[in-house]
Amino acid sequence: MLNRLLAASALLGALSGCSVSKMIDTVEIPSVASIGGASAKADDAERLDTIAFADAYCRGDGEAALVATRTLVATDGANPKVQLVHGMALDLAGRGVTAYRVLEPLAAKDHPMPASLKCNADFVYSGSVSEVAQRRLFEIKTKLTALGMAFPPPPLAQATASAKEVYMLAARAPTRLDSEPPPAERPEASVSAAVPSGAPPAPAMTANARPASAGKAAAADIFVHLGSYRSMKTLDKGWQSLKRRFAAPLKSREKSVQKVDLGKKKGAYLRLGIAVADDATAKRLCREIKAGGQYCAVMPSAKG
Amino acid sequence: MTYVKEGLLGLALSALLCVAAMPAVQAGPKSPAPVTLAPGALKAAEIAKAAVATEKKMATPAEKKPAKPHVTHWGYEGDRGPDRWSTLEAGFEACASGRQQSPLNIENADAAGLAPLVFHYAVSPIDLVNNGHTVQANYGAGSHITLGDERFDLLQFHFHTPSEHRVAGQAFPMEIHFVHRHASGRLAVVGVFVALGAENLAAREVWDRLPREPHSTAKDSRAIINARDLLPPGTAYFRYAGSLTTPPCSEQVDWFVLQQPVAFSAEQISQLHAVIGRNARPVQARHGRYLLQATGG
Repeated sequence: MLNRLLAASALLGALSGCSVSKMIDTVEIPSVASIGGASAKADDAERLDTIAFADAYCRGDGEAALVATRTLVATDGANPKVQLVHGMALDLAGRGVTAYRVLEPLAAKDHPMPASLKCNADFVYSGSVSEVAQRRLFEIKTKLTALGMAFPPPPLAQATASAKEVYMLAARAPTRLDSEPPPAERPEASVSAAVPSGAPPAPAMTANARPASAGKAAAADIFVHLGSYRSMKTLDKGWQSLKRRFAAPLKSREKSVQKVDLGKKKGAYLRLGIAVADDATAKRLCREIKAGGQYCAVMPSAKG
Repeated sequence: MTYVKEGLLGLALSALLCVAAMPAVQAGPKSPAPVTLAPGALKAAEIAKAAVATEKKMATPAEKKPAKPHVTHWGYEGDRGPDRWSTLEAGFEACASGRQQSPLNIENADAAGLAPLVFHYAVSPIDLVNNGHTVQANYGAGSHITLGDERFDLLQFHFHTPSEHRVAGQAFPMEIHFVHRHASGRLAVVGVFVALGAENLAAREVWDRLPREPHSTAKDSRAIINARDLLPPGTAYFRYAGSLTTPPCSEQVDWFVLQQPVAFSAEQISQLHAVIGRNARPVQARHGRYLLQATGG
């Protein structure tokens, strides 16, 4: 455990541009201020998120890196260094197009502050924020081009509309999804056959929604989870940041806060989200927010 | 003659690739020598060699007889199941060590502007083969898909019950894989989910002739079909870089999983399942691969 913390400290030292040895000598768990800028003062949760990002990145665990950076983005999303690590995490998690959208503005402008990340003895990246973003952007573009993607990526609004369109098709005629083929004696006909008979097409799938549940009756009380925080102070900062980033979908929405206790190991958190009346609205909101690279999850409301 | 050669080439590839791969352990002396692909890209020389071997084999009268039963070398359960494939034979290592393995759970895809997938499938006679792992329909030459200015020729299609790919963790009752090859040797597989619905009339041609015994062909194996009739009307797709879903799990396979499922009746799905059993490889780790969702189509 101690080794892990020291390794993460070293990583963060590199991330902040400080020398690794100095970071190990002086600070075991450095402040996220080294990422967020001199004026920022981080609380413990943010520090842990930053360590978690570096640790996950070095392990090659993109999903864990992404989870860690989402909270950072929610609290300090305007910071170029935070945007950089968020873009890196998105790329590692296989979200190349979203990563491209996050990194492109960083590469286009001059952000001279240093940024580096070292895993064990090797630098993953090192240079100014802009330089690192430019290099990563080039790599992402190469991979996306190999998959046949046209540039520039579709505008966010268009991409969201496309996903919405697919989702609505699925919702109109939900498809039964079974892990096993059905028994022959139990014929069902929930989907029209795609045979040349003029029958209506079978529903399409969206990659970000469970098609089987798309047509279910809406739950009465739905919580759209946007992030978790240790304190109300950081939660409020996160909410303001999200309101700025997602002005349209969050317009006229009030924040909702849930307290959760995840046990001795993880401790208590404050969940930030919004309460909505129906499942369809919750999923629509989440799609729009996710399209911007932000974590979002629909869950039943758990008051308390 | 050209048609025959191309058809043979397709048959040879079909015998080598994807689920259609014949067991590497051969039972009879008249059987052709096993050909195993090394993990990684398919080489033109290997393909040509396999084509010649198959052509020679097909020229003998013995070819018309049902193949002798082979020892099933790999399977979907127990000590020959997917988690053991890499240990069963030299050349299968990619099944465990590969970083671009298929199938995937389709989730968190990025919307992207991608070229439409255009199907140029024509009516063709098909040879139906039960290779012990699936029922495969070897397709005649000439049918192909285009992606931009690239052309991939259709070699064969085959079935999995339940589906191998999943959407948000959920499997479909069935999946059809249409296997294509680019002139460079690169493979492109189009995956089509099958949902429960009305009877698929186009599939009758195949279902009426299903070869029920492993390692056999149907008695009346010359069926005629247009594979286009087994596709859904919408051809918008998910794309990613993957692999064969069966040993040797070779990578550098372009995957196109259609977003819209096609419908088959419960009876049709059950009939096929009774023949091929459960033959779905579990979903594989994504390892940071990009998964794109084509807009439009």
